[in-house]
Amino acid sequence: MNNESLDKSLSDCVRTSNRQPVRPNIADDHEGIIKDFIDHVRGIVPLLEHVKDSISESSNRIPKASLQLSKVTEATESATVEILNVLEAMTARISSSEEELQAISQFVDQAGPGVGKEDAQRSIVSVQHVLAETKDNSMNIAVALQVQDITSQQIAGVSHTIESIRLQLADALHRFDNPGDEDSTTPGAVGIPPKVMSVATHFDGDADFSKKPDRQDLADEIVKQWAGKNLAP
Amino acid sequence: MAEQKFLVVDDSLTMRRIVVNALKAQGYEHVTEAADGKDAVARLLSEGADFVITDWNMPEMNGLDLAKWIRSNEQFENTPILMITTRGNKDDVIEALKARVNNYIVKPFTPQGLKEKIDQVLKSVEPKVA
Repeated sequence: MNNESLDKSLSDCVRTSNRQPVRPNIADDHEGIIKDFIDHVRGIVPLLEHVKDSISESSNRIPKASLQLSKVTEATESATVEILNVLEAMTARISSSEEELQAISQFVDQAGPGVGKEDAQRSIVSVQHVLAETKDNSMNIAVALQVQDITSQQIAGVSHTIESIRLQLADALHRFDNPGDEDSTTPGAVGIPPKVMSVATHFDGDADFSKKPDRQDLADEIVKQWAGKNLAP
Repeated sequence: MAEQKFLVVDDSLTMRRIVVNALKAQGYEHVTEAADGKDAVARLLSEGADFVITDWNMPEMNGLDLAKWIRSNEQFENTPILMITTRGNKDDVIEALKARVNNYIVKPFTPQGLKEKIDQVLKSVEPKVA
């Protein structure tokens, strides 16, 4: 609403009120108050314009932020896959080495008594332990990489929230420019956000990378109770 | 045991790799993958499976709907289903059990935990598996 329309509104208000039969000059009596009110509103208009500009600027930054978040997920997934590739190759080499070592161990066992046989057997056992431990550590690393899946869901939750905020801001901006328009769902209109955002939510925004056993313990207890309930006659 | 054919369903490539590697480390060699419930349905219909391990939150068709589809399909109604998901609320677990999943793992899981759950499920359905 600009100053010209405010002045017109004041004039219309005065004219209409003066036509009332009970107190024909009621508007004249209170014209000062009404003018003060209009002046106050005029003062608010620049503030509202500033708010609108701020909303618009913030809203424009959101798509870039969302893009950055998706890039984070892509990068971490890519890195995780590379690590898994290395781990799988390592595990395959370890398995192969274990087999070869087993063959050597059998050969040594079958060989007749000789210098160093016991030492050789001890060394073989030691190496077998190291290989087994390395294999377990590789698996533990792979399991820890679950953090990538869990954090990607957390990031997806944040992106979803950001998108929701962007749509609400766009709706607010639309109302600034179209104050009488209650329905902001004109199909095909550029910049008109849908009232209901139907974004597929195939993520768990509450995903948590916690190694504490309490969540699994809770699930186990519920499964156990459920099984007991369903098996009961 | 090693002859069991597993279908691992998760929209996360890294999670599928981790689960598949854990299964192979336990001696299960026959493992296939699907990226979502819809893909899983296609694989079940074309290749079949003896055991399904599925995530919950996935595009196209989530794990819960997949479980319901499996249970409603005569060909697969007794197929063991293990859900592995980040969802750990009581209501989530109950909802999954209502969809007749056999057991439930909350991510992050351990290989030992996975083995235990698979063993529990196989033991519970043993009479029904030829």
